[in-house]
Amino acid sequence: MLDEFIIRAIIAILLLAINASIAGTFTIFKDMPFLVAGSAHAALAGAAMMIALENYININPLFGAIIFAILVAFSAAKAKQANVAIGIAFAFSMAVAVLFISLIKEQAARVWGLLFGDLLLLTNDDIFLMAIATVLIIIVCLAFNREFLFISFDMEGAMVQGIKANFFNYLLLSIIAVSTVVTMKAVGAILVYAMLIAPAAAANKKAGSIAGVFTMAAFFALFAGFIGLLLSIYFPFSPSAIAALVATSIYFILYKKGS
Amino acid sequence: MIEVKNVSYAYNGNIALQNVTFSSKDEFVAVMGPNGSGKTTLIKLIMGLLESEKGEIKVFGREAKEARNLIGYMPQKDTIARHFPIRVKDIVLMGTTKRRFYTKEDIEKAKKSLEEVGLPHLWNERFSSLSQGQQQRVMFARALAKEPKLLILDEPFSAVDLPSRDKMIDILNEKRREGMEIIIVVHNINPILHEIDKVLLLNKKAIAFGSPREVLNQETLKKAYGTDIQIVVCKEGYCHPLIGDEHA
Ligand SMILES: Nc1ncnc2c1ncn2[C@@H]1O[C@H](COP(=O)(O)OP(=O)(O)OP(=O)(O)O)[C@@H](O)[C@H]1O
Ligand SMILES: [Mg+2]
Repeated sequence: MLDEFIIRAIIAILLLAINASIAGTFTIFKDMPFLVAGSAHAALAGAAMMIALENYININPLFGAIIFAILVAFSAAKAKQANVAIGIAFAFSMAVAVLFISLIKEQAARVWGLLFGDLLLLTNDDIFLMAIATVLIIIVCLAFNREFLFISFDMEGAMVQGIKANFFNYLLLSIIAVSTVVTMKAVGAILVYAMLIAPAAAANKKAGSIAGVFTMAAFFALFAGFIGLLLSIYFPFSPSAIAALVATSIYFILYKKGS
Repeated sequence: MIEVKNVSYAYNGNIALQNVTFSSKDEFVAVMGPNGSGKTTLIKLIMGLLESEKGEIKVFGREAKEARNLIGYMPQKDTIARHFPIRVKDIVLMGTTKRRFYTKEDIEKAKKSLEEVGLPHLWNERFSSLSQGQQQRVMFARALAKEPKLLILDEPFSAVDLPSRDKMIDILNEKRREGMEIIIVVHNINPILHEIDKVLLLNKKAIAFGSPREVLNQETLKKAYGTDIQIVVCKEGYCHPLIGDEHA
């Protein structure tokens, strides 16, 4: 029963939960949830471009996805009105994505895979890439969590305190973008938003401390991921759709209780 | 020691400061002016958070940016995030050091500052669960915890109750005696009028700069606020403008 696809799906859910905990929580602290949606769609364009250019440059399309997502993060970090910059980058990427998808008709299914996610179709390569990126994210966030917290609390106060706030802002937003691509590989560009944002947002409502938000977000994401996987084994449901439904429902339940 | 020479600043072409010049050394300086007169812009320039297009700013003889480690800053109340469960101690500790890990001394410094502002019991509380006035006093404690040579406060009293405000003023006086320089942005200058050395009256331009007795009169206030401001002369002979004053 426990074939290797399921084992890979389980590993992916663990990685997803780590990303939802770290990047999701910082996204909520930075108050920039839209960045996740923006980088996910840019990532789609990046992947589509790499697939279209496959005959000329043959590297994993995920690299294209990561580069495009980081570009969105950079434009958000540079802009005065981050959400406007993300919105424009979002629109631009969608245009690029549609353009390349129309060029690669016979391969387009691979892009759809990124759009809707393919938790049960992940390859060892995918898992390897996701794991490497996640480890990098963990290391950076452990090393700089004080700086990240500080710039989320008050950017200018951090600058006066001698922290290179601009640099850390670029770094943190890039981390969030990379995390988005990693998560997207498992649950798809459409649902990554739910999986990264909802667990952390719910945890932020409920937890009484910073550490509490990180742990609770991981737990919520893990719970949602496993429910999705479990149901998809016995019923013809998309695992990521169920996971996203569970994650957002947790938020709504806590929201109702909180207010 | 601050030297501001012919400084102008514009946000996307909208002039916020025009040709402002003033300097102070070892003084307690208040900056006052109507909303949008460039008070916050001016102190941001002094901290190197903004860069002036024209003019020159020196802080303790250095470029503004290079003097940041000597400055303790309390931002205007609405610029800080309150939507996540950060603790009071984490915030005050931010002021103590640039190091990644806090030492025993850092923790002691932070505790001392929180005690100074009269809130030692809130050490472990969530910042967002505090009242606005308490939050402002925590931000004040963060600025103090740095033990700066220059303290810059942007509207530090806007939400605090009167006894707490007077306590903050007592602290400022004590820091003055210990040699700290202070720049304070205020709407209502009356509570500190007797304590300050200089006032900068601002409305995009520096309308007047000098001791409160020199600066505050009907004429300069009208120039800054664009309307006649009532004045009450107290028994020490200071002109108290009746702006944003709950005694008015
Ligand atoms: N980030 C910004 N972008 C564009 N314009 C700005 C920005 N910050 C301030 N301004 C403009 O610059 C002018 C001066 O603003 P500033 O915040 O320095 O005023 P202030 O004296 O501190 O006002 P207040 O008493 O309301 O705090 C205002 O007209 C304001 O609209
Ligand atoms: Mg202001």
